[in-house]
Amino acid sequence: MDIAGVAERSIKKILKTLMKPFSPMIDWATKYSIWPVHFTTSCCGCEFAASYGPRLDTERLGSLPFTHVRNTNAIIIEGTITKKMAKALKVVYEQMPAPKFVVAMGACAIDGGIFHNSYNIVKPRDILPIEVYIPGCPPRPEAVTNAVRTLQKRMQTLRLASKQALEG
Amino acid sequence: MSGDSQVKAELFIENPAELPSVAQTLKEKGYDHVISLSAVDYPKSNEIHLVVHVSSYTKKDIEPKIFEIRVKLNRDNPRVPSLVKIWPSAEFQEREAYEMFGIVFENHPDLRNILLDPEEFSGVHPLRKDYIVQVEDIMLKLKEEVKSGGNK
Amino acid sequence: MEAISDIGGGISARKVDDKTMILFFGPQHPSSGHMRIILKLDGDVIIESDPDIGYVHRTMEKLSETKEWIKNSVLFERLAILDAGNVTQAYIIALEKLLGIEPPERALYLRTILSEINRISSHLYGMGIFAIMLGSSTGYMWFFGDREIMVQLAERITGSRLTHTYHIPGGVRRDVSKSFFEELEKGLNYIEKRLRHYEIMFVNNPVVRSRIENVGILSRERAIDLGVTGPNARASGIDFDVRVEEPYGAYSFVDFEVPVYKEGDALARTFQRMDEIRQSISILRQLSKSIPEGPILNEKYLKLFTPAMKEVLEKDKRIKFPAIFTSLKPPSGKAYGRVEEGRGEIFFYLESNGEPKPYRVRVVTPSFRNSILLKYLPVGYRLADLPAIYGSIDYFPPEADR
Repeated sequence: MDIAGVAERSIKKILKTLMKPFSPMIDWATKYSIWPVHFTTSCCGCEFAASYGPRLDTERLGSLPFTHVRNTNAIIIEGTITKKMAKALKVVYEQMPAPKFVVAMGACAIDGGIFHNSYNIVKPRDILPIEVYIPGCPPRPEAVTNAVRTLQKRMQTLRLASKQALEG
Repeated sequence: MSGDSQVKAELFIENPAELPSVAQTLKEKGYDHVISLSAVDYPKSNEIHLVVHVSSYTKKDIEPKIFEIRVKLNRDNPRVPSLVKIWPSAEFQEREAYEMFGIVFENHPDLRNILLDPEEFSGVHPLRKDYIVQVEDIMLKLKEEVKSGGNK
Repeated sequence: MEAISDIGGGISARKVDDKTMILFFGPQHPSSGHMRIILKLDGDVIIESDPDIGYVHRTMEKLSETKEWIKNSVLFERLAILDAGNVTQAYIIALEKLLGIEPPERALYLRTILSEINRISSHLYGMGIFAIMLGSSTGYMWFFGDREIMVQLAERITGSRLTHTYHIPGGVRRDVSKSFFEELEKGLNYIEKRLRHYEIMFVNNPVVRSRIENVGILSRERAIDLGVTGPNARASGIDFDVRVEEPYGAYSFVDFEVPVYKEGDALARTFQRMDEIRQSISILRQLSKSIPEGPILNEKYLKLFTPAMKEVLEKDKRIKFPAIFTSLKPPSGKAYGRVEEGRGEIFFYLESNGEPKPYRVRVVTPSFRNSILLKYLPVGYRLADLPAIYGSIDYFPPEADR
């Protein structure tokens, strides 16, 4: 018998029930701390970097690209995902603590884009649940900023963060 | 028909075993690094041509600036001596030609996949002409084309 | 076999014996450009390094065989979108050799102006990423903020921030107005002023300097053996630049020097890029003074224009694509094109058999040729030096993997 495991699970259950009334607060707090993991997959990374640069400064929305997976809660998939990269992407996603969100950036991440008939690509929507898509090849940096705002709006109205944290 | 009759190389080698001695002579002449090492597939004549482009950093007045060597290989079992000992710059490009065309480079220090995932692409050589990728279907296709996968 | 343990930051390790350890660096790691380096460590000294690249292999060489000749220029642009002008130019030069056509003089000048603007922005990007790897956020902010100016200038010429598709066989797609050159001069003055600040704040900053000086030394002989290209080769004393060896565009009409350093360490590679930006500024000033008036597309193609297309060219100074380009059939044969990109020499080898689609396209990018450095350069240095070495060679994975 795994007594410690049972105890831990019941404590978690009690905590989740206690936290229920505070779910709007969880959403509000997560909204202003979207930290995408540093996972530059392909050429859209140029525009991703530009959007976090001084000209547009997406950091002002409370979003900060960070290196350590365990401290982050979002992935912005920057462009093409190859078969080799898809395995790494899955591992990185599973390492992140909930609530976590995926944004697909660029035409390649949506439906393959110009590489739609390539033999080495994977469509991210087949392997991960995607919250926001950013169209364009590459999208302008303004579009990345807009995607962060869209994610924030969706979090507030659809209660995305609290659902993942309390029910998932 | 297959296009190889029109394409002329600076040097065309019929017997792959001659390649190292030719490479050694070229290196002594001043061609000190490999720009490109790749292959072209000619399924009609059952040949694969290894195409090597070499150039020089040290000799400024060398002519031609880029020297092209073509080696005729058997498509069923392409084997050629490795050039890594003579031109170390060929190391990664030989690994690429190995995975893309299945060319085996004898005496290569570390011959394995470089770009492709070995689990997904074992025994498959994507740049050969018989590896077919789907083509864009903007226009309506004839029925036969659809059956054969859309690519002639 | 011992279990793999995650030690944070996307780095996991496996113990081999009491002294050696295998460290998996990546594919998700703190620096930019995601690929894996498998390191064998003795204490914290690297004794073996095995780069595992190919995480961004998008199979361009194969896809180019399924697309028409002109569509491929859009495809190959995605090799390195921060340096798209130079990449497309190499492909178009090779295609022009097959077609036997030459662009008019004004088009050559415009191509070279875009090339040099791209080179400056590519170097600023490389240094910005390098700054992230060294943990200098200020450096990243400065370089990326100033890069926007060059990106804006490129946008002014071509209409697009990064994916320009500016070059077409026989010329360029758009003309520029006179007011562009005033803006260019303003931008260049700004970058020139800022270069001094970069030296004080970033390169000569004692914290940065102590991390990159005498780190990752590449000797001249080794650089030749490994076939290293671009600023990395020139920082090791190889006086080689495609712009001088095989002049293309308008480079034969301007005077410029090729800066060369002897040291071959990470510091020399950084100074090399700064000096190349200075040369690019001088080239751009000469070009904007001496650019001739005239058509921007070869006469042979201009004759095929319909009156409506001619009107667009007269009024908006841009070319509406003639239908002939979509069914372009170069005669059978082969051609190569080489161009000095920001990171080094890019080489295209085209083979045509008279069909509307290429028979074979081979592209060798500078990052792929430099990726061999990741295997040989870090050996003998400490693990903490790896970001400095990796960052200083300005490796861009989408370009290397194609």
